[in-house]
Amino acid sequence: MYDGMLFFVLMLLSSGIVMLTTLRASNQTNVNQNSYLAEYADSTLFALLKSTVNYTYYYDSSGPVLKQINRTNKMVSELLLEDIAVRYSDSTPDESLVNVFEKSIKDIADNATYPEYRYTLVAQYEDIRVEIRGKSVGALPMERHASFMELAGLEPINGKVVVYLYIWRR
Amino acid sequence: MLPKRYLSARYARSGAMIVQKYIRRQRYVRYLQRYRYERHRYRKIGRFGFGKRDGVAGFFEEIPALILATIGMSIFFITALMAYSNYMGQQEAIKFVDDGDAFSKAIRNYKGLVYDADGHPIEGRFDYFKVPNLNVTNVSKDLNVKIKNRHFIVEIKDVSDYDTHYDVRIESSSREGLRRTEVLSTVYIRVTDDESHLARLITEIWV
Repeated sequence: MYDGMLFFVLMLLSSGIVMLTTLRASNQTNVNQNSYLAEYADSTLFALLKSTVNYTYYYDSSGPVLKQINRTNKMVSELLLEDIAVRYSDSTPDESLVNVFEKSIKDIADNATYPEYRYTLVAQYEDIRVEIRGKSVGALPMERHASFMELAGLEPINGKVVVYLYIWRR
Repeated sequence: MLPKRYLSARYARSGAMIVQKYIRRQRYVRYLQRYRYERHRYRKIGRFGFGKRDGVAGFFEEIPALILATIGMSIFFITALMAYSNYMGQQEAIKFVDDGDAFSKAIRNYKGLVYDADGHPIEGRFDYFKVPNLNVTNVSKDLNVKIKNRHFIVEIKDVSDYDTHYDVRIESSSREGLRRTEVLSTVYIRVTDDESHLARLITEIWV
């Protein structure tokens, strides 16, 4: 009788081990999904930076007179670099830089991102940081994928501006 | 030799009766001796598990253990079977998703879409002139290795802020599939040197 019970317990343990092994194998699926998300982030950042915005503008408040700066058919990467350059030379830029200039980038990025994803686009040079958040996005979540590109800064910046695209599932 | 008590007056009966009683007594004594001997023998043999009494009783005692062992074996085999079936299903699903991903990459590099007039085709940079001309026949013929005779959908949706949009959607079959995989990515459509439209690319395959 005791032999039978011992055998039964051993069989239960073996079954448990088999189930655990299967669960570990199912993690492979998650790995594939994560690599897919990373590829999606790469393709989105590359296409976003290469695409152009039809028209946008901002007000230059650095001089004695407020001057409207118009930008037509400019790539998103160029707009981000200009944004960083303006912030670098003018510590208190006009609100239009956020409300119009960056919003035009946000609009196109919002359209490009699929509803099941959330994103945050960041351009950074030293302590100057431009952060464009997608729809209903708060702080960055712990689980996210980041893709980044280094771009040569515009005058007066003599260095690389790093652009990050953080993407995660809803 | 008969004991003296059988010859006393108290037991003085006919000689035949005395002899019969003696014989019965002797039979009884022999029976007892035989019984004790057999009992001892059975116990001795029974220690090895082959005795008549122990052998029969031991078989019945082992039935619950046999049931437990059978249940244990059954649970193990069912679990192993389920795990194997689950694993194979997962592997098939992973392979199918990989095929979907490979198809998406093939579309992103498809010569019928990519801008290559400058001699440097770039993955995900489409030609605005080629996009509207995308059709099922050409994709099926050119990318048959990647599609592997599956049904597919390719959809390009221009999401730029320009007035003119370059959208296209092709579908090889309207039949519903049991298994489908969809891959989302982002591309841009080159119109001129100064104008590129951001677009969503959705590819889907099914069987």
